[in-house]
Amino acid sequence: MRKTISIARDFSETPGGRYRKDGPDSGEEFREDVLIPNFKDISSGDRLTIDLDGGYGYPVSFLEEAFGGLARHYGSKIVLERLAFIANEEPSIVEQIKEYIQDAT
Amino acid sequence: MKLKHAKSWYNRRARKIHEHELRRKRRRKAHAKTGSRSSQYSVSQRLNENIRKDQYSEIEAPIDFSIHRNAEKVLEFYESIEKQVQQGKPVFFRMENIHSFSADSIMYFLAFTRNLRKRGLSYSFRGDVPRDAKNRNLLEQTGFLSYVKSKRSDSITRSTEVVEIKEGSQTSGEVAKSFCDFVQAKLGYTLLKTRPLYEAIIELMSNTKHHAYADDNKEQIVKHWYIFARYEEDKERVRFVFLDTGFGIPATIQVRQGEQVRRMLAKLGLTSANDHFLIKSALDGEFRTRTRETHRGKGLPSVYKLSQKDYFQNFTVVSRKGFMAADMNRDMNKALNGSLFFWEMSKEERDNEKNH
Repeated sequence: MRKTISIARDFSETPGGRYRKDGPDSGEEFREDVLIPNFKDISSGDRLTIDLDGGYGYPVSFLEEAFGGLARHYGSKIVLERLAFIANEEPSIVEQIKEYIQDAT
Repeated sequence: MKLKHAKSWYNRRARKIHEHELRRKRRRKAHAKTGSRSSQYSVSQRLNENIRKDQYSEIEAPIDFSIHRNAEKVLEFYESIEKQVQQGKPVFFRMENIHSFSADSIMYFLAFTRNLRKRGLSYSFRGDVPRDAKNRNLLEQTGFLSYVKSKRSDSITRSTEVVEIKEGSQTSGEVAKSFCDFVQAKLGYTLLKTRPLYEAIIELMSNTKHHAYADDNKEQIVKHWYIFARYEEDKERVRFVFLDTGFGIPATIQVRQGEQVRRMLAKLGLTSANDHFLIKSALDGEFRTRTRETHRGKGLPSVYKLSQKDYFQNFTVVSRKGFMAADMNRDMNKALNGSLFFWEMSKEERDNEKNH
C-alpha cells in the first residue's frame, strides 16, 4: 500500500516553526496530527510518500522537528525505510530532510 | 421692544464670532512657531495628560536616524530618553532636522515604548516629523502614525511601496507570506524563488521565541518581533528590517570558558566585549545553542547562508555591542537591547542561479 501526504494540500501552505507553542502550523503539529497517524499504519515493505511541492517554503526548524522528531520516536533506520519524498520543485530539500533523519538524536 | 432685543442679540453674536476668530488666529500663530499641529504626535502611558508644552525635555534625534548606519548615535538618543523617563520627565522628540532615516529606528521606538510599559514606567512623549519630505513620507509609510496619537494618521493614504511594520510574538506564516507576495509583485520573483525568504523570516520569528528572551523574563521584556520592507524603485531592490528587543544573540548563546572570562573583564571595562565574534560564531553554526540539544540551533545559520549565496545582499546584524556586516565586524560602544537584522533583495540577483 502506498499513501501520499501533500504538506501544502493536506496540512498548510505556510508551515511555521518548531513547536506548537511557537505558533500555528508547526513541525510538531504536523508530526503529531498528520505524520504519525499515517506513518504508524505503514507496515514493513510499504512506504508513505511526502509531497513537498507547493507551499511558500519549508523552514529548517519545521523540517527538523517533523522528520527528525519522527526519527527520534521510531528510529532513523525505520523512518528512512518507510518514507519516500516528492520534491520536483526543489529536489535538494530531500537530502536535507534525510540528513535530519540520520542525525536525529 | 422686539426690535431692540433683536439688535442686542445680533451685537452679542457678532462679538462672539469676532472673539472666536481672534482666538483661532492666535492659535495658528502659536502653531506656526512650534511646528504645525498636524505634523506632531504624542504617546503616553499614565503620566499626567495635562502637561504644558514647556515642561517637555527636548531631545534631538541624530541627523542620520538609522540603526544599521549610525547605531551608536541612535542608541545614545534612546539612552537619553530613558534617563528622562526614569526621572519621570515628559520628552519631546525633535525629528525635524533628520537628513536620512530608516525604519529600524522607528521599530526600536515602538519596542522601546512597549518595554517601558511592561516595566511599569510612566512616560509621555511628543514629537515632530522630519521637515524633509522624503524622510517624512518614509516615516508615514512605516505606519508609525497609527501607533501614536496624531491628527495626520487618518488622512494618510497607505503606500503600495512598503509592507508596513508588522509585529507579533509567535511565528506567523501569514506575515511571512505577505512579504513573499510583496517581493513577487515588486521584483518579479516566482513563488519558488521566494521560498528562502519565507524560510528566513520564519526562522527569525522562531529565534525571537526561543533565544531572544531568557525563560524567566525577569527583565520584563515584551517578547515581540517587528518586520518591515520597502521597495526602492530606482534601485530595483527591496530592503528588509527585522527586529527583536530581547537580550541579544551574544547574551543568549552558550559561551565557552575563555569567553566567559572575557565577558567578565569587559564588564569591568578591561577589554572589549567581543560580541561581534559571538554573533559570527552563532551564524556560522558553531554549536552555540543554550538548550545543548544537537538538533537545535540550525535557524540562524540557515539565514546567514542566504547572505553568503548572495540571495540576501548587504546582510547586517546588530546585537548587544556586536555589529556584523559583510565589510565590517566590530564592537560598538553602546549596546542594542535585542537583535536587528537588515538585508536587501534585488531584481539583479533574481535570476542568479547560484543563490537558489
